[in-house]
Amino acid sequence: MVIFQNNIKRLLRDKYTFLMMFVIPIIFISFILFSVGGSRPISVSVIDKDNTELTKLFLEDMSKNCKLVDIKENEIQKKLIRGRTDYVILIEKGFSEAIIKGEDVRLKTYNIKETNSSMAAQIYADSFINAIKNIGKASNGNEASFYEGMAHYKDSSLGVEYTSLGKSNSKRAYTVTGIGYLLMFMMYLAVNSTSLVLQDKQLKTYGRVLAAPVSTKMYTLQNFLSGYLIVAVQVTLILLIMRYVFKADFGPALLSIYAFILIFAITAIALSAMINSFSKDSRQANSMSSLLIVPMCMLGGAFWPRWLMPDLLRKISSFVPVSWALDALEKLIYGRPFSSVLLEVAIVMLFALVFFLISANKKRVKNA
Amino acid sequence: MVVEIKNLVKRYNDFLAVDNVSLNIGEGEIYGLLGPNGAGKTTTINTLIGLIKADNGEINIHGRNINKYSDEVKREIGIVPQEIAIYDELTAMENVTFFARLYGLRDGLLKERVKEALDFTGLWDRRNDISRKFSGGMKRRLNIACSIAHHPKLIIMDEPTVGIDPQSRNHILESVRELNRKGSTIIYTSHYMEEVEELCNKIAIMDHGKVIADGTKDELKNMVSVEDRVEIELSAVNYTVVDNVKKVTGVKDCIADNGRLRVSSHKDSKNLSRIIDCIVNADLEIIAMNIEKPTLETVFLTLTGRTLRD
Repeated sequence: MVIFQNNIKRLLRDKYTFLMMFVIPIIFISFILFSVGGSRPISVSVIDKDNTELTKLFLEDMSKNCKLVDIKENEIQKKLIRGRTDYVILIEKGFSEAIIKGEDVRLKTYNIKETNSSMAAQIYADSFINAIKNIGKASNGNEASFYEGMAHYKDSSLGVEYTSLGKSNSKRAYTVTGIGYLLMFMMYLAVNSTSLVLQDKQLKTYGRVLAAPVSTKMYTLQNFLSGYLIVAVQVTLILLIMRYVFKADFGPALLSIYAFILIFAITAIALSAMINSFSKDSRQANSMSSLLIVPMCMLGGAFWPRWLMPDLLRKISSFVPVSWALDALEKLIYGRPFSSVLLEVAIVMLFALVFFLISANKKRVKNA
Repeated sequence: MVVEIKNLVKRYNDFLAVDNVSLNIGEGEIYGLLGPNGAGKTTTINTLIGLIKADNGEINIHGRNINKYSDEVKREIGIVPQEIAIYDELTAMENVTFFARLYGLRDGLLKERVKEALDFTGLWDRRNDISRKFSGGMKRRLNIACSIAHHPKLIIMDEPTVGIDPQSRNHILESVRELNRKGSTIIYTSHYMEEVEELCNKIAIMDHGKVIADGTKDELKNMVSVEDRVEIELSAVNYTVVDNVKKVTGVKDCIADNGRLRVSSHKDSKNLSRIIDCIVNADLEIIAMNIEKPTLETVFLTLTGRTLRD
């Protein structure tokens, strides 16, 4: 492991590596987690056309857990897409009357399907409506009995359960974005770390090393391992900083998230191997990585949610490993078990295999 | 034989870089590979150390085929590449240690050999300095240090003195002699004629991928010289002495020119003492004498029709 150790020594002395490894990712991620507002409450917009005692009670309870804002009907779509609101409730005229009569009425709600940010508000609203429907049925259309029942319901602690869930979901959405940036910096660092092969070729040390009793395979393997270790150290430290310094919410399974990112690091190394195999020198590799990694992260949803993109781009994004990685990480952050992301693990590894094969084939053609 | 190269051929598409080269290099020799840039020297060397696969031919080092016994053979070779191949961001000591470890050196022996190599190249005092800060000459010396810590039996030096100051150059040339005295066989490639002439006991001249001549310096010079020339500066010149010198056995011609006699004789005439006798008998004083011998430059010019730096 002489080459591996030497590479680690060289990489740790390189100021650019240090910047790419910690400084820049931490600046970006802290910006997302702090400036954008990692702990903002869920924003629920309400259009109350009914405006009764019941709807006031409903909104009063909602306001304990969410930030209620007024909205005009024609602004719903725009505000949802721009992220100004997470959930919109439209209470039609006659809603309260129908409830008291025990009819099966529904609230009109709007949210963006692909996001989890409205989940808590949705659950809370559904629970409230289901409860008042039951009270309505029990009161047999008697308004006095209904409001008596409502008074008992108000005293219950049901709403409190969702308060923490709502805030947590909001924080987790930003954690996902922070991790999206981490994936991007991982890929940049992987390219930088494994481009030591190209630097060796420029410095002519490549030939000198291979003139010693060292095979090309061993040289390449040790180069990948050193690159992987550097990326793994980056992931470890940044996740720890996100968790313990920035208090990012990783949901219940930080270790699963860590494990998945380490698996994705293999794909990042494979991608960098492919980029390096097409580059003449490290400068060209860096340029090529910018051309590939940034669009890959854009398409993959690292900078903004994928649901914002047109259908065609969303279809194309399936051919980008970042999409699958972020899908899996989102699932893990929102509490799904590791077994639920095995498909994503397989696909991310398949990407790694394809990148390695392309790289190996390119080298074979070069050497022929 | 330390190195046997038989009918080596290497092509790059249509370009024939090495054309049926055969060389034999014996134990303890400093073997010069001389030729202009693009003659095929570096390709031959790179094939010899296993960096390039030959299209045809066979290379044995200490009787072992380099393809069959790659690792064993590589352990016995030290390569000083044409371009300085060191890590700029590492210190001199870290560079030598890294390359020595690649050859399997560990622990006490590693430390001892690293110190020896740095001492040998005069860099021990600068061992902890980052090599980026070194002068061109010091980098060249470090380039050598990195190739000798594992005590190779065969050292291949590919143009090790390119672009350095005379002091560092002399240091390197002296190092080459010292390594040879310590028992290493050396292959030395250069396009500096005078270096090869000064250092090497056997030489191969390459051009357009072919070995056009090989042998000892004298053997090469004898291949091209057809006459011996001597120039004698005298106190005075008269026609009598010119006529008398012309009558000496072997003399082809004698010309008086501005107080000097230019005498050309058939090769190996061994008539210098008789020429001097003629001058002394004519009561003339010899002020200076210069025996002209063919140089490797002459050899190259004669064999290729151009000078080495054309």
